[in-house]
Amino acid sequence: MSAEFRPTREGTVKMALGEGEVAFLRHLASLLDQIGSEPGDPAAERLNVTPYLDDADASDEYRRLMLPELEQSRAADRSAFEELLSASPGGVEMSRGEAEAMIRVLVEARLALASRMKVEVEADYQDLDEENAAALDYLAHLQLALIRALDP
Amino acid sequence: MTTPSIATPDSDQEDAVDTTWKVVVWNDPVNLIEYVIWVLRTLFGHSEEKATKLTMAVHHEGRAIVSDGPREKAEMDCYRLHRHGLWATLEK
Repeated sequence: MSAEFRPTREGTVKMALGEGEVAFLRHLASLLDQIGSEPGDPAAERLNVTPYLDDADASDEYRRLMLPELEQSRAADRSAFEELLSASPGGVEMSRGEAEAMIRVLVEARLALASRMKVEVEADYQDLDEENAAALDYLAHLQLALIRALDP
Repeated sequence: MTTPSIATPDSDQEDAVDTTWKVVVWNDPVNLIEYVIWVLRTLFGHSEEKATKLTMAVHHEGRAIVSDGPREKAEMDCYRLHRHGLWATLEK
């Protein structure tokens, strides 16, 4: 894990990523682009939470109004993220808005991966193979390092 | 000169009969405690102390009410939490 995030006096964050990290994060972004294309995907269920537990009609109405906006916002975050990755060799300086978009993409990716790995309770982490556990740990590390650089 | 009407506009009438809606965040095994605290501070402007208290309630008790208000506001708060990956629902 060679990722580095450094706060600047202007409130921006300077990011440096290794080549392998950029490749992994690009792969995740393309995985997120495909969420929802297959029925029964646990990642889509986790990301599109049912808002009214006892009222299916109200939940449908909420989704009708909010889901298109949510999907658009997530797509905009992902494209900001992909631009940052493209600019990252040699280091890139992120505005607060770009850093927040990157945090949301990292969170979305971690939730999507964990739901596909069937992590439903904390004890499920014990059953993950090394590679899956390392992917979740790496995304957690990036998330927290970025938050700490953004709001030191 | 006309005196202001005391009739309430429709939307206010709806608000008057509308119960306050609560936005609940549920514990999930994936989101990180430090991240949830950051989200509550960033979205709702809570102090670190209040955001931490709410997050620890989510973690230990399984859920916490993080905001409330008329339905439209509660739905918008719920949307913002969903956008940040939190498991949020609405209830009266």
